Amino acid sequence: MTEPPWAQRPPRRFATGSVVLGAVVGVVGTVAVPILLGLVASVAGPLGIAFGLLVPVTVLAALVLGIVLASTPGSPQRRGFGLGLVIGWGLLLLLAGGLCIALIAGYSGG
Amino acid sequence: MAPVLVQEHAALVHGLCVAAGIAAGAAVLALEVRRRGAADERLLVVVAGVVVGGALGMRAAGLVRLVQAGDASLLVQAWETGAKSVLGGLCGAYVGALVGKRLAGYPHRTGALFAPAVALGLAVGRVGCFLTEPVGQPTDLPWALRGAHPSFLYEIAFHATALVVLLALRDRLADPADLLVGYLTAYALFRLWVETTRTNDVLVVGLTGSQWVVLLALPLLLARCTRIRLAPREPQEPRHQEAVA
Repeated sequence: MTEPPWAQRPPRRFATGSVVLGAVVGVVGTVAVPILLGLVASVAGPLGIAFGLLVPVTVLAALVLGIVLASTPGSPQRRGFGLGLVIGWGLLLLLAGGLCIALIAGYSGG
Repeated sequence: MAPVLVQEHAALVHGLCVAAGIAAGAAVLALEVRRRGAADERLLVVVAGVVVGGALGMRAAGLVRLVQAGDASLLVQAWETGAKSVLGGLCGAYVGALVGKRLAGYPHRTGALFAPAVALGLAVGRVGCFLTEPVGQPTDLPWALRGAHPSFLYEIAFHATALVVLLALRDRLADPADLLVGYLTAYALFRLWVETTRTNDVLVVGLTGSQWVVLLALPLLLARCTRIRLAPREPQEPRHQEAVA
């Protein structure tokens, strides 16, 4: 026997586990990727400038990618991961944004 | 110069205390959502709005001050050293919650869920400020700390007391979401006073920037407070007369 329409639960939009995973990746990625790029920039010679220019872009990458993943049609896992990225980016800014930028600046400076 | 208790690794100590505050607040939020049976995946979007809005507001409030100074190098310094503002964070989080609710189509008020979480989060997070920022204006009061007002201890005590009051009142208001309005109003009034014990720069007319922000917000908060009502008491059930039975 099928449930009447009013008794059916709305489809899930966000998988909770994916939100947590996305938040962790958002925090770690927002720290790690710019630092790695900064390191590459410091040893890549003339090409280093290009990598260096990417550093500020990657600081915002988790936020932009998260918004795109969470707001476009997709599976609950994909949307949840995107929402987690947004939360992770915000958490990082709350926690240690200043510290991270200092680290990035330090590594980028070689 | 006002004393600072922890000077080495200050950014790390401050960051760890803020992290502990966020973790404690998140735990209380989760418990309150569960206790009220308010679990709804759309709340995740609201939380995302609160986190991002709070983070941007917290940073923006500090940056505005430096933009006025007109020195770009100060902006970089602001990122490195913090330039964080609790008032900016609260304003940003409030706007973020509204945006999150609109985006997710969440129709309910969320003040009852967030008020105890914010109070505990700020009480814990302010420990970082107490340890790593100038403690306060000079004073010769008996409880002075190295000759200065322990202004952040005042604030920790305020938020801890507020948490107890919020927990006591959380089922006694006609609209439990008004808990947040009452808490923010009380904090605004408290902040107006506690700024006089802190070392923040005076902006104009003898008041700090935070005091001006509070003065702008206070009329709105007080007006909103006039609509707070206690829940009507439920009629007591007549006592079962066992003797009759």
